[in-house]
Amino acid sequence: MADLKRLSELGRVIADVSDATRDLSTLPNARRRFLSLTTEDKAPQYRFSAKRIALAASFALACGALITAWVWPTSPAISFEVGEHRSKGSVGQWVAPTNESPLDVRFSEGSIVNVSPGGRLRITETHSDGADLLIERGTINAHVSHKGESTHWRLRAGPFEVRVTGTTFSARWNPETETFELAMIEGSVIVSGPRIPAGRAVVAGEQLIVSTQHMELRAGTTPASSASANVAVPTPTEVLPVATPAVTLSPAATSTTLPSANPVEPGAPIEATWKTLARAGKHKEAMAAAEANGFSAEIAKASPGELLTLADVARFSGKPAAAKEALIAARKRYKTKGATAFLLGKISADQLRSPGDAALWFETYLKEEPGGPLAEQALGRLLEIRKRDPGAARIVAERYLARYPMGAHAALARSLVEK
Amino acid sequence: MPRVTPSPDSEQAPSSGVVRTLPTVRDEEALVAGLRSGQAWARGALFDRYAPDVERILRRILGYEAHTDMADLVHDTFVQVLASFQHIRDAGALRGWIQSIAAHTAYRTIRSRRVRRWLRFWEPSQIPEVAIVGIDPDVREAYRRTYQLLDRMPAEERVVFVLRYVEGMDLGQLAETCRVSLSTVKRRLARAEGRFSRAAERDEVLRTWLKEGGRWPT
Repeated sequence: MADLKRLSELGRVIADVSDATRDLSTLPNARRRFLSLTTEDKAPQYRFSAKRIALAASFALACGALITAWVWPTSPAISFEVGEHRSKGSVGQWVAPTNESPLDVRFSEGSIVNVSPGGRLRITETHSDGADLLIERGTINAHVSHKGESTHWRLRAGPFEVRVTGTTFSARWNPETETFELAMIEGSVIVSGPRIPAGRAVVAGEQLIVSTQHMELRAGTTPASSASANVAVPTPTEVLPVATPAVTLSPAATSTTLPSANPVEPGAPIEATWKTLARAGKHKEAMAAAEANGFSAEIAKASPGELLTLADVARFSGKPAAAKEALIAARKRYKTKGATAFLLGKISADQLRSPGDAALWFETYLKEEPGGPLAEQALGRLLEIRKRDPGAARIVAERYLARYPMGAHAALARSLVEK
Repeated sequence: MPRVTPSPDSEQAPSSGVVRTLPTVRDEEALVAGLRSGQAWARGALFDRYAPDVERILRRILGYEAHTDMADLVHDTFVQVLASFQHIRDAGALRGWIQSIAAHTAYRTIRSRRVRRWLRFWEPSQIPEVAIVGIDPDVREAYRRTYQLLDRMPAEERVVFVLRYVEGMDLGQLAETCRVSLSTVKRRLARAEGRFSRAAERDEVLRTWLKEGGRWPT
């Protein structure tokens, strides 16, 4: 269990933030309401306000819905048919073309999966919102119908998994080389697996090639919105061509070095992943995602806001040097002054344990934003750093007291002035 | 300096030119008597004297949440105070008793928030950012994450934990405010400490706060 002294320290900080952020209109508003109560109003043990009635009604509705969901039969799982003769498919059985023609699997909710010659697919599970597919080998072209937020399809190939909510794509799995390839035509999917444990978004127009040893992502190799270019993408309304033209995947399934006609800069597709993780507060995962594609590469193309987010991600995941790199990039490239200097001071003092650098950065902040919102804290931190040097400490303490006689560091400043 | 509240009859003779001794902050007896006899001044005095305590306790237990109207909760607390002040035997215990009602109001609010979230399928982990400048971003992050953890704790443990560590109450005050025995409050607090610490251990920001303090030594 945590040290109780530390818990108390954290509690005091929480109290300070809570007090500093309190809404000053609360008490006047509450007072006005309270004093406007009549004598008869003063003891309303149970008030049947509109709010309470609405809450009760919501509760009743929820109970009703629960009972209905319990009593009512659940939605049936989707079914599927295989081939030109539309033979009824069975969950768990292989689907594999027996000749040089591709084989269609048509699902009852409108999705179509086309298995190329030489390929082998297994539908391992079906449910009301989608199905689980397993590519045992070869290539499939799929169009998954998006029927709403609940649409849930999953494609597995070896150790890789693709989460699909409605999209058009081609996928290939080579079990010999353990290489998975995915070409997105429409929509986006999340791919996870050995080299991408946190998951990676692949969007329309991108192609991912990943194996247990190697990962590559290309952009611009698939048409972003059309299935007409060089991809045989089945749609619910059209009859699939008898011969499947070359898909956008590499010519040879065993090859992981695709023609690099338009290689994407490292980091472009991973952007969505680290940002999403950072927004969810998963800083370590976000950092891992950013590092997977090169943290410096991410920095090189980040916007000012993204640089600050990258700095936060790095700081909170215990990588102060990376955080510093992002902040310095923000200062150099976008002239983002002020807060970046304060953060650099904090990182230098707290994480890099470099008080000299920290003092310079806090001074920089005070020069850039002398009346800024963090000025009191910057001066206070400067005071803490300088306190071991009586002469320098006295000068900073006097500066502090002149500006913040009631500030959080005032007691320390007075003690240093009086020495 | 003690705060001064008007005497019970000051409203009848506001400008008589006579110097009167007004009840001070020590006169809780007078306040309770004024409330019992329905004196108009007493309600205002009650609010002015104890509302900051009530607001602080509610705010610290509940944290910032976009759907909570804090003025509404302060008002509710005082309505409950008015509804039950006849039970007060010792006027000297008025402050503790009001704090206890505030803590109970916070407890009920946590419970009803959870029901509301469930009914509305509202994502509970989304604690809004504290919108204020001038607070160290790390401190702000620690604040946000602390309330995220508190949000996942049972309501009675959350209340006792916040009153102890954020409000700074000792065990006796805790027992009085939560209206339970000292041994019960000790058990409850130990559970809350354990639960919070375990969760904080898994949080990359709070783990640093609890292991090394908010700052590394410079």
